[in-house]
Amino acid sequence: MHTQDTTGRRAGSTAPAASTDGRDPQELLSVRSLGVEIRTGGETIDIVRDVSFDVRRGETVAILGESGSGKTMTGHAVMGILDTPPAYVSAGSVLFQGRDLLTLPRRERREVCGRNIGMVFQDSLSALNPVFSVGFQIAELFRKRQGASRRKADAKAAELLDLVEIPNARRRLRDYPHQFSGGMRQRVMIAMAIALEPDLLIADEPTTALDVTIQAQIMDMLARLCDERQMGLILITHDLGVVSEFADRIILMYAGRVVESSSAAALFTASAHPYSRALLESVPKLADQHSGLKVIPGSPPDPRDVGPGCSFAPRCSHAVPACLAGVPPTLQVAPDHLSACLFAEEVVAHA
Amino acid sequence: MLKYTGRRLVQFIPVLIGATIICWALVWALPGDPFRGRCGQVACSPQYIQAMTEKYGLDKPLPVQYLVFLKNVFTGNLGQTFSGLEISDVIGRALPVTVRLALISVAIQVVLSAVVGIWSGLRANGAFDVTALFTSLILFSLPIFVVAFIAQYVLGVRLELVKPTVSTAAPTRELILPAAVLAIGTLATLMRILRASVAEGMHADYLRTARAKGFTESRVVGVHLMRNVMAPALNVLGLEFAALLGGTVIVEGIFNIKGVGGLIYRAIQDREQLTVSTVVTLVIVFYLVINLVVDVACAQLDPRSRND
Amino acid sequence: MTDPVTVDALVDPVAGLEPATTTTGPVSRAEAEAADDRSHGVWIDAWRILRRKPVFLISAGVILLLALMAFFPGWFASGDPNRGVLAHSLQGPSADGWFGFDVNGRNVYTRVVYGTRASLTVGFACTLGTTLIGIVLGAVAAYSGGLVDTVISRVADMLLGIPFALAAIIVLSTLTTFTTPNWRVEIILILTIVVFGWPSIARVLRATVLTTRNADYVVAGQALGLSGVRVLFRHILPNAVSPILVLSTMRVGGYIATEASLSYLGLGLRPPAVSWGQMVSDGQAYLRTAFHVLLFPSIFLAITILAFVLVGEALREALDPANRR
Repeated sequence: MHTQDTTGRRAGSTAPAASTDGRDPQELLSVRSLGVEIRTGGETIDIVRDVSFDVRRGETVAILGESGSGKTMTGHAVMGILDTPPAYVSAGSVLFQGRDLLTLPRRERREVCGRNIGMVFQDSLSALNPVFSVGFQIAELFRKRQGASRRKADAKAAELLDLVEIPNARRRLRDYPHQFSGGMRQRVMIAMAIALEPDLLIADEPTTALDVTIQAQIMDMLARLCDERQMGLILITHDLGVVSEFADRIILMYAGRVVESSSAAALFTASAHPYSRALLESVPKLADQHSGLKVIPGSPPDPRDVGPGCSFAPRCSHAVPACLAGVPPTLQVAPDHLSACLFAEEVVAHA
Repeated sequence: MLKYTGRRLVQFIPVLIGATIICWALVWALPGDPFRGRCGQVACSPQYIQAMTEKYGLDKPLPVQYLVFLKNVFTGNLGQTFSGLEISDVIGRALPVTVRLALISVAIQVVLSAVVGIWSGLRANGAFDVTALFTSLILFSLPIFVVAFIAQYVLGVRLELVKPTVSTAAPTRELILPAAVLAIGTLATLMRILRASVAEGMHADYLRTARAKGFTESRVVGVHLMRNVMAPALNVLGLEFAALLGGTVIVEGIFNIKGVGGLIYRAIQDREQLTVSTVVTLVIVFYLVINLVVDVACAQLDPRSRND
Repeated sequence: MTDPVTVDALVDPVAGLEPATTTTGPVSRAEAEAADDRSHGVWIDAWRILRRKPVFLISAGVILLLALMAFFPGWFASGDPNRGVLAHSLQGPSADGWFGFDVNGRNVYTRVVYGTRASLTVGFACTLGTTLIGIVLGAVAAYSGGLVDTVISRVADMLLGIPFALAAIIVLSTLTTFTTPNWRVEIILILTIVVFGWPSIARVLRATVLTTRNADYVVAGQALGLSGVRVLFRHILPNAVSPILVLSTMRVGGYIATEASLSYLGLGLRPPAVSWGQMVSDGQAYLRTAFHVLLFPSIFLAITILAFVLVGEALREALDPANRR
């Protein structure tokens, strides 16, 4: 159903040092060395460290990681909706069409939200305001952000519900979030996120709370909308299946860091980090019923006491003492394929 | 919404019937002489007993007696006080004063608890919040007559800022102090529910969504958060109305206000049981109606409570 | 970029695993200890929090002191609370009478000490009664369901619809006269409050039973063949204990205030019994000339209620899972 967009795929690379002269017009977002920390009672915990990635128009970038890997915090930091306090951006820059969002005054920063970047949240039941009708929540975007009249805003809200394929759109405007099914509610969320026609959409686990069949519908719709509007999409997820089907690029996070960054195809065929390798091996395969489920031993580190070295080392079958000495440098194993592992090349070679 | 209101009304009828049965039973149907002590410290005259027996059909079976009582209540035929005044007339004169007193009191509660509760909720566990919490606990612990006497003594007798008692016409200016005293007991509860729902709401996902929609902080908090806080607060305000109505008996007694509460207070002092029980029954019915209205209003504010 | 040494290590995975096990080892042991701590239960945790709270300790101390006063008033004040020396009438506080004397020349301090018993008796008896009946009826309603549940729930609705201060006014003014003996007044007062007070406890219990009855661990317990009674006592009631404990503790203060208000109105205890509400009522005539007659019983009343409210508040915080680490 969904045709992967390969046209905008770079011939060169998204090298960390961004273009110095004249920006690439396709370039939407460029996150550099982003850090997020949580400050609680005298203690500072680094939740996101040194995260860099780029998103281009029409491109779907998946931020993949298990819970606690810092993927959601990264999304919130880009959107500028971190819960401050306790969470603060501690380092880095978030360049959106050339402007650093992190240094923008509050007012201008707010203007970007919704208009330039839209966001879809995971749990639509708690993310939608329970005491306002769905129509009100969509229409208020037009009324408050574009100064539209109530009538015009309502008409536009109905159009949007139509666009996200909610039956009886006009009538359902008056309904409240709890009166919708999970899938329909997520469509409402998406309608709200794309209402002001943003250039970039951040979707935080948009289908995790849904049935598998509904998941596919929602993802197909998201993909279609991004395609039609040439929107960039940051897809925050832990679901390898979703990623393999819809992502153009994958940013794999572990314990707050990017461990591997590559095109979607490369990650699945030639992964260059032991963590991604282990993840792929842990996916159960129908054909192979005898080997049992492969799990990664141990559990992710407590963000309070992450050692100086590679965070994955304690669980890694390739780890050596050097892994714990310092953060492994990011290696380029192929054009546009980065891995934060000392043995990146060996891992690729074993693929 | 209309369906909910209808359903709520249907549920209301048995509660109303039950509550009035209980009140009626307490007065008339309990074993023993229903006229004992009903005429002050002297025994009731045979004429009085005969008149009352007829009026309430005390010689008829109990269900009939109850229906006669209901008919009497709803037709305003409430009987007479010892001094021969129609109870319905006395209530008619007293009611406007009490309604004004209650309205001023609710206004004081709402304004004070909104300001303090919301402010401490927005800055939960800050210095202001902790001070407000402690103060509200102390206020909550003071019995209303203690507050009333202290206010009367300090502000009225010592500082002479206000008149210690309210004159018969009960001008609004003189009602402010009694209304404030009345507000203190319920203020604490309202303040705390507001604080709790604001503090909880500040971390709600829907506020993050509102921020992601690029709204100003004043819209995020003022519209998206506040609408969620209103229903629980209104609910508490309705329930706390019981304390307020009970409080009017004491406050109107102490400040000598000629309202419904004062009527009950003086009837208790004069041992006019019939007047006490009739007026209190009416107050209870009023309370039930207020809470019906509050429930419907809450359902309007929070659609989730309309289902089931 | 690749280092020859690390390549060697890659060939020998055991070398790489060494540091891994040593780093995860202590962590999991600490976790195990933490889990063990948790199994000691909510109550030990709560006690650990409570004993470090000065507000709780002071309030609990005040309650203990008041209880002693109620049981052994003679330890705190000598003399008969009803003996008056008219020469002392309305005298202010002095070395003779710390809280001064009332209009009949009775020692206010002695009377305040002797008045403790009435307040605490009503407070505790009402709390005990409402809690017991509330638990029993709440559990019965939730467990039987059907008609029994409907009847109990509807009766509870009706009783909750009637503010109990107002109900008590009706009951006491109807059932008592000037000549009713004090013990009967007290029993009627307690019964009235119990009758109108149990529904809120029953509601908490019913709701807890209904939500926990379908919880996985309860269903699992039943599947393993535990009897209904055992499931109720081992798994369901413990969940209801903390909300009910908090609610009940806070309520003691409320019942004491109700008793005082009714005594103040002249519907509660009468002389020769001594109660704080009645003392305030007696004192109101001398508001302008002898404020101390009214002040001291009021202060005692306020401190008593505050102590129960603060203990309830501290319990609420200590038992709230969100406040535990």
